[in-house]
Amino acid sequence: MPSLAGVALRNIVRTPRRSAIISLAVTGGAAALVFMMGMNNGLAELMVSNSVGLMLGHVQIDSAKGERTIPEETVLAAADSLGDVAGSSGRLEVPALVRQSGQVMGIVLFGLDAQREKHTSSFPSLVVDGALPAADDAAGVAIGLLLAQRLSLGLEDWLDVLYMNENDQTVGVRLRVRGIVRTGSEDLDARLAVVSLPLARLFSGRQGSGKVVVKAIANGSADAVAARIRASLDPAIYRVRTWHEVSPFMKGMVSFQYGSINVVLLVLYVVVGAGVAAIQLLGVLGRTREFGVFAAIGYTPHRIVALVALETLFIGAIAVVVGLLAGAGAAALVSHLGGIDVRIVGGEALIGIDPHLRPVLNARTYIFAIGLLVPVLVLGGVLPALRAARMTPMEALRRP
Amino acid sequence: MSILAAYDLVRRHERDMPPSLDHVSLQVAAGEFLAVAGPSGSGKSTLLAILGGLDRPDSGRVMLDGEDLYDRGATALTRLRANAISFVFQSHNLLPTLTAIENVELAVYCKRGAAAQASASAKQALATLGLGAKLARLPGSLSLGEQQRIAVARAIAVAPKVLIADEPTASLDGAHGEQVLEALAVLRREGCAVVLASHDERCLRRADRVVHLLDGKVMQ
Repeated sequence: MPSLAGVALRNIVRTPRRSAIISLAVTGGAAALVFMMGMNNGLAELMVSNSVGLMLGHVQIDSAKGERTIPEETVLAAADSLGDVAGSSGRLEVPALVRQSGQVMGIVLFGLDAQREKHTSSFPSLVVDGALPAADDAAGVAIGLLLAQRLSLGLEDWLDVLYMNENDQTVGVRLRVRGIVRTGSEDLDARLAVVSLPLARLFSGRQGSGKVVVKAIANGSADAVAARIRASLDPAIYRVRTWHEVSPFMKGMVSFQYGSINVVLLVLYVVVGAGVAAIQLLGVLGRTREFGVFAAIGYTPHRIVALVALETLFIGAIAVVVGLLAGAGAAALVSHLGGIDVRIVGGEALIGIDPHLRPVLNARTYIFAIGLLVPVLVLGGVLPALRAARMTPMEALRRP
Repeated sequence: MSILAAYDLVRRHERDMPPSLDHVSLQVAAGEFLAVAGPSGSGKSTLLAILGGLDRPDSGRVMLDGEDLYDRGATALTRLRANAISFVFQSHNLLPTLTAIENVELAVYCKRGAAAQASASAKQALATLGLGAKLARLPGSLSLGEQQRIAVARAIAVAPKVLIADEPTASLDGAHGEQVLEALAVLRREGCAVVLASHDERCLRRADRVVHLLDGKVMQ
């Protein structure tokens, strides 16, 4: 019995070339959308990761009262107890001066825990020569590349530092250069001197850290991690902020870049949508005469439109699923191979910045792809069918 | 008592051109076989399309069982075609993706209350026209004559009140042409009015009445 669905299936199976063209267009469109949206998500993730990975961290905890230091053990314990935290590390900054060959310049003694920083930031990867001072190194320092050049210092040279102790007395100390650091920031490279956290505490005469930086396992869980840390700490003592709150500028930059790449995605969205609609439209417009036959033997306009809608849904359902799987497969393959190195397409990688772009897929990716393709397909098929169904059968039959 | 009647039909396909139908009126009784004759371009196909509810006249009326065919919307007119009027096209107009039996079944399926008998009616109609062995063949794999007979089977399987046929024997040899005319005769005996346009002398001889068209006008 040739039911509507039966006729639709026969039309699909017995016009293999037409069905294949529409299927290929939809499959290709779905795959392209999923892959490109995955790359878009991956780029957004990379932007956030690279923005927060160097110094900022996903969450920062410092003093709620404006104190220079906080008791870090409590904070580190709270952060490390969370399953979605990759690492946490205390930091303490001490302003200082350096004197070399009659020159005096201001620097920042940046106390950090080199071991913990490996899990918290990309800072350890910024060392271009030597190493960061170990926790028990009572006289070691790693200095910025520009600072080293200005002071003509190399590894194992001595750096003379002046700092003010807790009694407001100026103290001079000689530190041995253990490493050279390049951050990519001229300002930081000219002023940065990294020492161990215990040494920074010694210089400042304070216990604890100036702040604790926390890295979440995923960029998207920064708010949740902050909320849980906040809930476990005394708000009278600790101020817990996400990277958005610490650096609205960075947040604005990431948002701007994300918006910019979304413009590119929107163009792709329009191109894929128009392409699929055009192919579907051509396919259905070419069937006007066939619709005239259906009308002549008693198929009502609604039934003709329903027939086209059913055919579209049958082809679309299979092609969209295949396309989504193909896009997801391509994305998985690219991720498996380590991502696309932006340097091979003209990008420049900075030290400490991951140059590998990896697609990131989520439910929204699939919803957006289906949300575009299904309406485009159905409208591209139903609208010309509706137009044909409104003609008299003879008008439709006169069409080529 | 006429089952189908046309009054003062005018149909002009292109502005500034003479009308294809120029004030044509005619009546057909139930069970009557009316042949429409005339040279190419005389308006036969246009008249048949309008009588069959496939094309709207610019003016004039077509009454089926006392009701104006065109005094209704597209959906209602389509339902009327499905239930009461069958049309055999000169160019067959079979659906290429459906087999011979599916083409016929589909027409029966559209008729109200006939869906359950669609398969049986289709098989019977095709067997009557000598196509019992080719039920599962697609139209593209059949000869023009076979396609013509499927088109006729599609029309008679519905058991319509009115059957309209445009050159239904044009692609057929003598024996198969007779087969078609015999099938139409059976239908007539059941009360179906047959209106047929043809140049075929066999058709014209079997007709109860012949109307001659010339330049869109009925010749007396």
